[in-house]
Amino acid sequence: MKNKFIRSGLAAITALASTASADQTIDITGATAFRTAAITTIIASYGAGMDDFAHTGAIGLAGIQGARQSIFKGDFPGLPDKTIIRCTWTGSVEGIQTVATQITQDFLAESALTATGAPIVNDTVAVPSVTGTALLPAGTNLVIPDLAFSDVYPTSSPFNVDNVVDSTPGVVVFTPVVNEGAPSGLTNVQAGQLRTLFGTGNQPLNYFFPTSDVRKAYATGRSDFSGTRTTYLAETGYGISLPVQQHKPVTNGAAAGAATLAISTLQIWPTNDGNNKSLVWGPDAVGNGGFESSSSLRVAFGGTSTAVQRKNSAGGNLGSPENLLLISVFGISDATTAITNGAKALTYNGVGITPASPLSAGDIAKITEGAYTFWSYQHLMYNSTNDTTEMQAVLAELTNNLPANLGTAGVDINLMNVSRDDDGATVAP
Amino acid sequence: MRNQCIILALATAVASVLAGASAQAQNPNFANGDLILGFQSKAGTGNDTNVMVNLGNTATVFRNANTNNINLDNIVNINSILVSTFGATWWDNTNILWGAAGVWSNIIEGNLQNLDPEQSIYATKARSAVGPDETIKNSTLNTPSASNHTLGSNSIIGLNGAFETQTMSSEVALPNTVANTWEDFTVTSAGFTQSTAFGVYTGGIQQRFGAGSYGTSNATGSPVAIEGALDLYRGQSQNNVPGQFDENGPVRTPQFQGILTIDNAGNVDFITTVVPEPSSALLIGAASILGLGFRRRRSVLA
Repeated sequence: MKNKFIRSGLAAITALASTASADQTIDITGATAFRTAAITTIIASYGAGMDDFAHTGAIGLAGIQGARQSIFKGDFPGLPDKTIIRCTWTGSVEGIQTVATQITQDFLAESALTATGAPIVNDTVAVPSVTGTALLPAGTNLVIPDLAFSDVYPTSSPFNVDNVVDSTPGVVVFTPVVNEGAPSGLTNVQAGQLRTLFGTGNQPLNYFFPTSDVRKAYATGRSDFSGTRTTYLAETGYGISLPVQQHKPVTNGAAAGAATLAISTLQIWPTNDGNNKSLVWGPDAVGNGGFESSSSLRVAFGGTSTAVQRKNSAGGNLGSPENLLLISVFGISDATTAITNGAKALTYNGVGITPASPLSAGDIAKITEGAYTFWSYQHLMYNSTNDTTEMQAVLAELTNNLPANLGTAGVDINLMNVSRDDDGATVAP
Repeated sequence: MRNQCIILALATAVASVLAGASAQAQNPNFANGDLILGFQSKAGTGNDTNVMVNLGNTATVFRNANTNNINLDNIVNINSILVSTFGATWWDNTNILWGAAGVWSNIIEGNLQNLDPEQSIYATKARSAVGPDETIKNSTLNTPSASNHTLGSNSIIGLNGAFETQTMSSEVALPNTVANTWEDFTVTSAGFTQSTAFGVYTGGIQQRFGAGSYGTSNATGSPVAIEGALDLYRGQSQNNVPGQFDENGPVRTPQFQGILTIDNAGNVDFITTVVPEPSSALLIGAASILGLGFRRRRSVLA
């Protein structure tokens, strides 16, 4: 922390001495499923030029990759003076909304780079040779973002996207997942089964495979601001704008991945649930909410669910605690973590991949050649009315560096031998 | 990039409020459970627009009306919005279809609204034969599976969401590009073959306008040209919620409630009992008098 104070003082003096500084700030928002790759790419793009960073996550690379908000400052290729890049990951559709309609999103203020005091701590791990800070309180600096990542097409939203300029620098891969405790016979799910599950909220296990196991599987997932949700409703043919019947799992609070982690309650998604409300396609409605971020879902799927108290939308208990299972769809990055903690990936329409970093060559081939279709394009977009040289420079650098930094997020767009014209559309060579 | 001017900031703030409110807007002239009358055109004027009209609460206005012999005259007059959307002679335009649907909740939790449990679906079916007698029930809706009934409820809630967020009025003409509008759930091919409506009712729930009349009198018996007639059904997914309407009654099998009609002046009526036209009534009355007199005479004669 001491070094940080010294650097902060120097930074302040520098700032005072250069009040006419032409530093530029580029604000990026959108897909949470792609944030790992986005953050990795931003760090790689700065390279040795990065001076400082701060974020709201825990210490370390995984922390900053999973953080909702982050800020970076330094010399950026192709741009003079210092470049600040700020990120707030909210979901693909919300990213489309903010860029298309030019509304504000909350970001960390630049002062976050010099902020101190508990719970803020130095982070010497996330970016090699750079000392930043972690565990920052949420930033509330409201600005219109310059760029948005999205797992889905701008047109997979109800917003006017006439001024949105879109590019597709990658492919994002998803997989159906069942939480810890699934029977060995549950290995696959069909598109039609997922349609029914998300539409009705639950189905008995013998709907998915022949079994005497009397447990039910319940649907859970993300809010309609999420590209992951848009993808699973598009890919399965359910319809991206239709209400679903999802449930909200709450764990017993044990640490992620702990053997004692268990889902304690499961509630049909209530209304008025803060940022978990679905407001894109209609008013807040029971069952239609979902997690704003994938992190809570990812944690829950590592928990057992042998004695879960089901609750109605008002929070009242429904019967006695039940032995049940949860099914949802995750991006590969989140699935990898959830599986490490006990969850299980399911094959989709009889074809499966093993979530890992990186995906195996065999699994990549299933995607690039068309056998596995649970994927969407990663989009990077801006509004033509908010086009600047500085933004274009950052856009170009990120686009160039993304393929090498995709990690678990997906597949290099240049490897694809099949394509699709829309979210959920037919995949063909 | 950072030098957002004050005007832009203000505009942004306003835009933020509007955009943030868009999907949350609560239409004071609509609530879940209201019956939505929908119109779409497959070609010509208005083929890019859907008209949706709120006819009132499904349970309190329409439920069980046939049992109680309730006739509702001129529930609403929608000639203006139909003319402005589809043209002056909309009632003879064979490109136009209409139908109605409503539900108050898609989530089964054992609650009642006006004694209707969740997933009590109200939907129409075109009368399959043109005839002057509006009391003839001559259409049927299929009985869906439990899952499909739920999926249908989800879809109607989606339609409700569009009505609730896209207008503040009781009637609206929406571009068909808006999500969850009428034709999204009542898909009709260019050849006027109707797909399964709301994912649940095979063959669709709409009627196509055309030449001819479905009747000559309205809910009060006044002479009008009935240009469309839809049988309205109610299908409940639960019959065991204490105090509900039709407790222990049929599950998911649509039950006939009455007939929605529209005349060429845009008046929408709900008819369960035909009231004779005044002229007919006079004739009947006269005939009755004559008949009575005849019988009297005959009885006298007898």
